Amino acid sequence: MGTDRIKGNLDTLLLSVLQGGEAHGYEVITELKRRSQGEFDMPEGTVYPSLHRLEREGLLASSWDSSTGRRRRVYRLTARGVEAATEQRAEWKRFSLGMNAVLGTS
Amino acid sequence: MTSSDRIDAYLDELLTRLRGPADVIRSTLAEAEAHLRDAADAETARGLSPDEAQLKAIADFGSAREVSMVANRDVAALSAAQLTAALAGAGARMVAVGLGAVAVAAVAARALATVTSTHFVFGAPAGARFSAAQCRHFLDLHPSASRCTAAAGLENANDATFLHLAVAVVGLLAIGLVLLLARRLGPPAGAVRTPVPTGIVPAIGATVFGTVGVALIAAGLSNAFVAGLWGRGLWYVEGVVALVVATGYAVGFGRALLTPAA
Repeated sequence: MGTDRIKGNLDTLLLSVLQGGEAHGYEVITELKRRSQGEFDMPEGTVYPSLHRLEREGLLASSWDSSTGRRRRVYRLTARGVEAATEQRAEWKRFSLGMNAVLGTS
Repeated sequence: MTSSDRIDAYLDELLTRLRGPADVIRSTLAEAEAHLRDAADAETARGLSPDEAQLKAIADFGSAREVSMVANRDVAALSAAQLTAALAGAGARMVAVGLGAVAVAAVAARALATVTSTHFVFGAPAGARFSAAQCRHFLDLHPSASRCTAAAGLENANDATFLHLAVAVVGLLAIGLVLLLARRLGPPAGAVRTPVPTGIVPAIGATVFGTVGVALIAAGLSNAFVAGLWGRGLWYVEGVVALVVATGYAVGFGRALLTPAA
């Protein structure tokens, strides 16, 4: 259940993590795991295609960095990505308020 | 097996399973390696032995089968979308060539009329019948013409030239606009591109323009009369222009066959 929900909202989660600043894939996924308090348990390698797709859609930009000796692809939000992240956050808030109201969990 | 081999072996397996353009596979592998080594370092810092750390990092990353399945699905969807876009773009450019040919034919037909006669190029065939209202219309517009068919030929010269040029200009502007929009909304520069397989566009161009050219020449030979479309010389000029374009595409097709795939 948790994994399916995470998968369905992975784009929103990735954009949200990158709102904190640029990061390479491993950092993004580690932060995602930390913030989800164990709910994120997808195979980590299957997250990369989503990062690549978000880049193709113009929401992320990436560049290779080898300043620390290991070559890593660093992702950051584009202006459109910032807009999308803000919009998706607001949408989620509306949705969760509605769910909470119905389920009586607010 | 030494610990450093586990990640290398995993990457080797991933490489054999990944599908798609070489640059995409290469960057996927580089990214996977950085991730696995960062993760293994973190596990070692938490107290695992180097070998256990690599095993844990690989287990968290997912099996090569799972990871490659997700990545390949993404690449396949991308290739299909890009192929569709590339074919649509090639189609739009071919229509633009056709519209250019229509404009050239209009000018060439006027030129032919000056060296032959307006009647030969734009005149209606002998059997053409016009209603009294049409005749009145043609003769009103061309009072110098002695007969209805002569007036119809003169009017056809004006109408055909105007319509050909109008269709070409409006069509080319529309296609230009669509291509411009597609470029602005399309994938950013540097994205993976799937070209249309070599030779397909020239083959389609040669077939389409060749067929249209032959049909137009046949219409000229039979001096075909279709409401709003007539003129033996006009059919010939249009047919010849279409055949010239078809020849251009056929030459392109020949070159594509002779050039080894890039």
